[in-house]
Amino acid sequence: MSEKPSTLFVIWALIERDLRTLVKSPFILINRTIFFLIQLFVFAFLVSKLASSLGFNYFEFYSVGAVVSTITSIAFIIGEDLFEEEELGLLDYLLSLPFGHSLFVIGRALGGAVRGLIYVTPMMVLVAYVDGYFSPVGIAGSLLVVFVLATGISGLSITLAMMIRNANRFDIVIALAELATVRVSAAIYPLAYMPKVLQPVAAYSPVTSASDIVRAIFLPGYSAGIYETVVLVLFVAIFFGLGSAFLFRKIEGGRFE
Amino acid sequence: MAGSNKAADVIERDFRVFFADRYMLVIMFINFMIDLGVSGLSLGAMINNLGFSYFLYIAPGANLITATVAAFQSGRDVWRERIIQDTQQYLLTLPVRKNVFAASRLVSGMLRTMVTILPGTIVIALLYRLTFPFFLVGLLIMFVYSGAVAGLSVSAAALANSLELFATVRSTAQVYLSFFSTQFYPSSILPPAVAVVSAFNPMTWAVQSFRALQSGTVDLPLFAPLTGLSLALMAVGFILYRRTMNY
Repeated sequence: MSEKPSTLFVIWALIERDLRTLVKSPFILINRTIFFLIQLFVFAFLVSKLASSLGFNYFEFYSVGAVVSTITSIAFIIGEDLFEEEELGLLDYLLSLPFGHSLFVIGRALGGAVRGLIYVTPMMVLVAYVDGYFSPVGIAGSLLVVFVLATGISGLSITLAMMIRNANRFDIVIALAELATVRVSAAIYPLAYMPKVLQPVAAYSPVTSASDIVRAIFLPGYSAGIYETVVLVLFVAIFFGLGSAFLFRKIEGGRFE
Repeated sequence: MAGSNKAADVIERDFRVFFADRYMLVIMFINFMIDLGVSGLSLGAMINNLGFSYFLYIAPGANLITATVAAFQSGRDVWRERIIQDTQQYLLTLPVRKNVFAASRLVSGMLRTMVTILPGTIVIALLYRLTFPFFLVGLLIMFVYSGAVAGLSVSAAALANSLELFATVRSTAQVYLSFFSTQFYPSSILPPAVAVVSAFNPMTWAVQSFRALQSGTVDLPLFAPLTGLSLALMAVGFILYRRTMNY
């Protein structure tokens, strides 16, 4: 029998496989791009007209949130892929390949994040241009922030895919998770305008943290720092662990490692 | 067995599938409440210079979007039978005429949608302080709208040969219904091109019909385009679904 493949090789193979899936899914790419452009140039444009009495430019605020919510929604697709693979019986084959389940979760979560990143890079550049921000280093930093967010969201999505058995329920739960993570955050409206009971929850949201950091980079008058970074990193760590644990339970029927 | 009984059997089967997972109804209601209670209230707090409550203005839209999601769940069942479970051929061997079968699926999609949005419609009726007769008119608006989205969802189920394509059509329909309508903004501020597109959007007519109830009027001229669009979309759904039955 040949040698066990190296960790890096396995992760790269998993990422490459997810990228191939993305290339084979042109409808999703086209659809999400159009959705983003409509969100920005129809919804945000018109709502910012209605919200003209605010003390800040809502269009700029929303533009950053639109990129963050788009990568969030793309990162959720990885769970849908896993669920479909499970339905088709392909997941059992993938899990029989010669590497650990933790590596599988890491590879798939990174795969989901990398394809999200490839996908939103043009959007991030467009938003930077629209918001009058032109530093390549800042744009690269913003892409790193949304990549970290997408990795955590992918882990969350994988966790849900492993927990739910019914296709219809999965469909609804994933839509609910996507809705909750984006709406209960400061991605598309400032925390101060959210219902008071939700403000503390939204303050701990990784989507809020990612949006705040990118706004602090792109837009004058916004700030973010260590706290937002810690929330993001914790979120990724938690869902790597949970995704891995649920996969382990699926394969072995055993306890969490 | 009479044709109507057979239609009832088809609808009953769809409801059995629907009620197989009762948590779905709860989850859909939570979905609606997030839309209304988080996005609605937040946007309502931000936009407070219009001379009317923006929260109440966008509230019916949250329920109509839930109706869209519910209708596409029915479409997803049709799609799964066709593509994943491969049970459509078996279903077509049952002693039900194909036309009756196709029409019944559309009607069951509408009825399932109505069951899903009933709690949301009650919430909106309470917010709008509607009398019981007006609440019933509200339900009628939702029923007519559910025909439009059931037609769209069955069309998507009939056309899509992959989950990716079905999901794409579903989200395209949701974007079209939400952003190219008067769900979030009055028609007076729409750019001309968007205004034209929004006139062919059932959401526009449904949401405006519902808003009219708040002022204590039933705006019949808004019903005509809503009904026309719903019938047209149901006819498209029926034709496309019926086509998948010809081998």
